[in-house]
Amino acid sequence: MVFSRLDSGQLDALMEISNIGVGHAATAFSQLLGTSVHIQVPQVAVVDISDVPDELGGAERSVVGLFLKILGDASGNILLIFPTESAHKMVSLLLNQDPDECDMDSELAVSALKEVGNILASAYLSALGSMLSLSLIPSTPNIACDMAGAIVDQTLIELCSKEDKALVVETEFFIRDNELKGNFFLMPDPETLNIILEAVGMGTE
Amino acid sequence: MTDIIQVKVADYKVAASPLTLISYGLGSCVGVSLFDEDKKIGGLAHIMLPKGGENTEPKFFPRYADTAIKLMLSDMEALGCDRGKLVAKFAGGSSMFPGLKKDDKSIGERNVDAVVEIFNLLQIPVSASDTGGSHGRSIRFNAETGEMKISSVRQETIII
Repeated sequence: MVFSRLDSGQLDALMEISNIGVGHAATAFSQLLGTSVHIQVPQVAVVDISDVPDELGGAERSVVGLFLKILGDASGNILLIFPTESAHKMVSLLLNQDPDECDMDSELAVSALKEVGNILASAYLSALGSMLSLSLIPSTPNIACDMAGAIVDQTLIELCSKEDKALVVETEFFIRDNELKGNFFLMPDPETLNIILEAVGMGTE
Repeated sequence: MTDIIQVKVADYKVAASPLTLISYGLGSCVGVSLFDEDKKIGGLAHIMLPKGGENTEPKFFPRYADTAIKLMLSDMEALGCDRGKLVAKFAGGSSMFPGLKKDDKSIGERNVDAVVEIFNLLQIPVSASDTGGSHGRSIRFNAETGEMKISSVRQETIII
């Protein structure tokens, strides 16, 4: 399955299942933070690998990135990107600390962020999995606080050994008038895409 | 402010003075420059992977260290650069997620090895490099001076 051959019906189907997936993730997130979380309708785009860093808001942007692999019946990557200030606010909310006093490099802060990655990815994948009757499990999260481009490199390298395009499912979530926001990206592997499409009755090959 | 040209991931660009070539946010990727001081012509490649196999399609050449550097070299020679006068620099090849390392070497380290190997093969001297670590880098390569300015989020900016 080549990403550029997806028709609009298939892209719609992907958007719809992602919508349900991120809905579950947002519910879990709001329970974790103890506040309401808003999400945008996911966008599904097929983009050149060279353009993915721009799609993530610019390669040089300083962010906290959480990266999880999808294991089980399908494979791919989940990437969560938080602007550095948002990650900071989120950690202080989770740890119930004053933002000025909260040390982002502490083991506790790193572990809290990883937990966010874990909960969002698990909620998303379990919703997707039960809808599609597939077993989908997230790997343990990897974290890096750095330039967005550098963080996404790893994902792109895995994709680009066989593709020149990436399928990016993106949604933005935010709480309290943008006080905290982040982006959720799903990048399925090319060979996995057909498994997902077949499960929704839109397979081609 | 001199004009700038952005070199995206898996691409390369050749430019003459006074242009600056920029690649943002390199992680395990490596930014490789070639410079002809006499002609004031420089090239910057943003490579992702060490080597393409025999079946690599030409459209994928700019991704791989070996094929991207050869392409950039032939473009520069076409502009009148003398291979014997070219000097190379490179930066990048970090391991952003050290936990992901599967083999003995991370993809960043393998990229750097491939770059070193290809310059040995082409007999082009490498004057400086800044590689490894677990931080991202942005590279600004000045086609007037041949200087490569490397900036990152939590480290001092350096010029090589």
